[in-house]
Amino acid sequence: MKLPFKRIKIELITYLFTGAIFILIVLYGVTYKQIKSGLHTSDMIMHGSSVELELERLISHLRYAETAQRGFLITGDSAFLIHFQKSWLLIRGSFNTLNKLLKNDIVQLRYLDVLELTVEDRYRLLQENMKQAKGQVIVSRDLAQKLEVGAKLMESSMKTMESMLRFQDFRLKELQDKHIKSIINTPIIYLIIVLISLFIFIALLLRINSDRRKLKKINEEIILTNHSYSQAESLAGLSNWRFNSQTRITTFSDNFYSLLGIRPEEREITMKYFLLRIHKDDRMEAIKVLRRAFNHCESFSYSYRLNSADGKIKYVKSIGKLIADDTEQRYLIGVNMDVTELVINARKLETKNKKLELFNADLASFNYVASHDLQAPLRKIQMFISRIRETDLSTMSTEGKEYFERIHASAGHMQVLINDLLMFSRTNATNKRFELTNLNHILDNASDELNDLIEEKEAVIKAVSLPKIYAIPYQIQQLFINLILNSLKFAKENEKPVINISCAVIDSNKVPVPSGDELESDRFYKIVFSDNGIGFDNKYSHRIFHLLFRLHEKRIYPGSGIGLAICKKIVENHFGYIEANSQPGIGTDIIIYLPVNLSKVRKP
Amino acid sequence: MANKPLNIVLAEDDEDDRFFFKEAIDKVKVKTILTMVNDGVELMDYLNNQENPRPHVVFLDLNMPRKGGIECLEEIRANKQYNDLTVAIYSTSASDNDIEETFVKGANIYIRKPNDFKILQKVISEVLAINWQYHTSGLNKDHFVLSI
Repeated sequence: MKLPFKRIKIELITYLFTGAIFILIVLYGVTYKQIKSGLHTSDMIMHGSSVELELERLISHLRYAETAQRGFLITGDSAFLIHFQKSWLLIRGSFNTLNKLLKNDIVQLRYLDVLELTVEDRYRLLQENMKQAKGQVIVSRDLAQKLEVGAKLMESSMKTMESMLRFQDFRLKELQDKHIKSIINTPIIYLIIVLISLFIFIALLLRINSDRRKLKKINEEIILTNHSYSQAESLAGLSNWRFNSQTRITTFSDNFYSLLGIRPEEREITMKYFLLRIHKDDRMEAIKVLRRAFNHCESFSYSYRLNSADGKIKYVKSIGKLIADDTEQRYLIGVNMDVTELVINARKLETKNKKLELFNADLASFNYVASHDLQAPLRKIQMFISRIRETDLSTMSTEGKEYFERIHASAGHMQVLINDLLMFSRTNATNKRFELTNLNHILDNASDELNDLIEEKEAVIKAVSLPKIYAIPYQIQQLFINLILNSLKFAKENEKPVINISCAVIDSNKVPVPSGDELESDRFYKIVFSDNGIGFDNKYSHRIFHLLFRLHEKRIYPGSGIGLAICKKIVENHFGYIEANSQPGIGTDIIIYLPVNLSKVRKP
Repeated sequence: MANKPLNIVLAEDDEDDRFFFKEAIDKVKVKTILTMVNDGVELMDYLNNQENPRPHVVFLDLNMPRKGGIECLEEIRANKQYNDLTVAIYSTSASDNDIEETFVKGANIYIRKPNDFKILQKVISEVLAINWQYHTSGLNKDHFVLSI
């Protein structure tokens, strides 16, 4: 059974995951940058407002100084001087703060320098005004002039400050523009990233899902395959185990448990337990075989006996090999077949064979007894008969002569009987060598053998051309001789015997086969020996082939009753069939059916 | 040669068969000296005794007690001294095995014991008439079994 091995592409999933992680990192980076730029903008806003605030403070301090000066000029009260001093300190403080705030902005610093100079000028003017005023009468024309200069300076400071504020605004606006620009792009970038991630995740999901489905299908098929495999195992008397070289654990199939005669839930089988169950005479060799297979990466095949838990000895044949997979793991796999029944049957067959051999030997010795020990005394009887006939027959009485001739005939008949029986038993003999035989030659040989008799009876044998077949030549010759001999023997007295031999190829369904017989060929040669003899009642057409069956009185037609039985035997030896068809006074047909492709059936 | 009698040995355990053989050989026109032994052991003793005259033809029965005809044939053919000794198998058996085996082991001719006295006479005179020195060369299996 073939498992549907569908390879799942782990690489693709890994790539997709790596891509997704990379995109997430990018997403983080972009977001971080966005947030940072937002923070920066708000810092700048804060910074701008601080600068603005400080500038306003500066203005108010300057006004404060001016107010103090004005108060002093008008009242001459020295208390205003203190206020004036204080305002100066405040102005210096404001400048320090502004210097700090604007230290990175060159443009603003330049503005600040200008402002500082203007303010210092203004402050100096105020101071001068105050010195002049101290202890003196204020010259109103001069003072008015100075006050006007002061007002101008003040206006210039105010202008510088306005410029600074405007610039600050500009800076802020620039930053905000930049920020807004980046913020406007952010959703698009986010959208793209989210879409890509979404796509990747969906792809991953689909992929994982399809792999999961495939895995599920494979799993189901594996379960099914395993199931049918275990069924097949138990049906075929097979079982298997596999040994994992890394974990040193051996897994045994369910059927292996039943091979050992235990149930799987009864106990676990280990390699050690298995080896211990091998018959002690086979165990060492089994271990050697397994070790060799493991160390030399060879296939192994070994037959051994197994002590089953129920006390029976089982005969097992194991084959197996070492299998290494990609991961350096090695498995030694063994498939076991319970051949107990085969072995037992083979034993039985062997015993039967031995008996048969003995029987055959008996038969052979019987043959020898028949051919030698039985014939020897008969031959001597005949020898003495021939001596007496030669020398003393003339001196005998007529009756004596008559008796003596009967003894002579009986002895002759006995000899025929012994010879024919011997022939019949030889037809059974196991030594059957099939060779390609030209039946025309065989027929010629048979006619030659019977030449004297044929001439004596003035018989005519007409034969069509016969085929070449795989046959046991001497047996076929015997068959032909017997058939011709019968025709000559049962010829009509007043008619010269004519024997017609015909041959045709016919389909096997036209062969008169006893029911239940399996045909050896799909086509047969139908060879007919047809004579013009005395014939017989067709109701005997089957019995004439039986051993020792005779239709006629011995004195008229001497014979053993074995000839046709031999014919039947010979035809059967050639996987063929024989039948007779006769009409009294007209003649007899003996029909032989021989398989055409006998060579295929029983190649010599 | 014509005056010199042929030395013939018959190895045969059956008394009747020895009797028939002697009667038949007496009637054969050829001058012969017949020695008869009862089994294979006696035959080999006779042959190995240098004082005995060399036989021209040995008629050898196959089925004899103590030592059978096949064994005798093997011993005779193993001995160079008897290279030109003619061995005629004289047996009741007509089995193909016996014929095959004796032919292979170097017998010169195979005679099936006849059941008619006249035929026996014919067989013996035929065998004795063969000039074995020339016959051997043309020996083949078809003529191995003597048929009368």
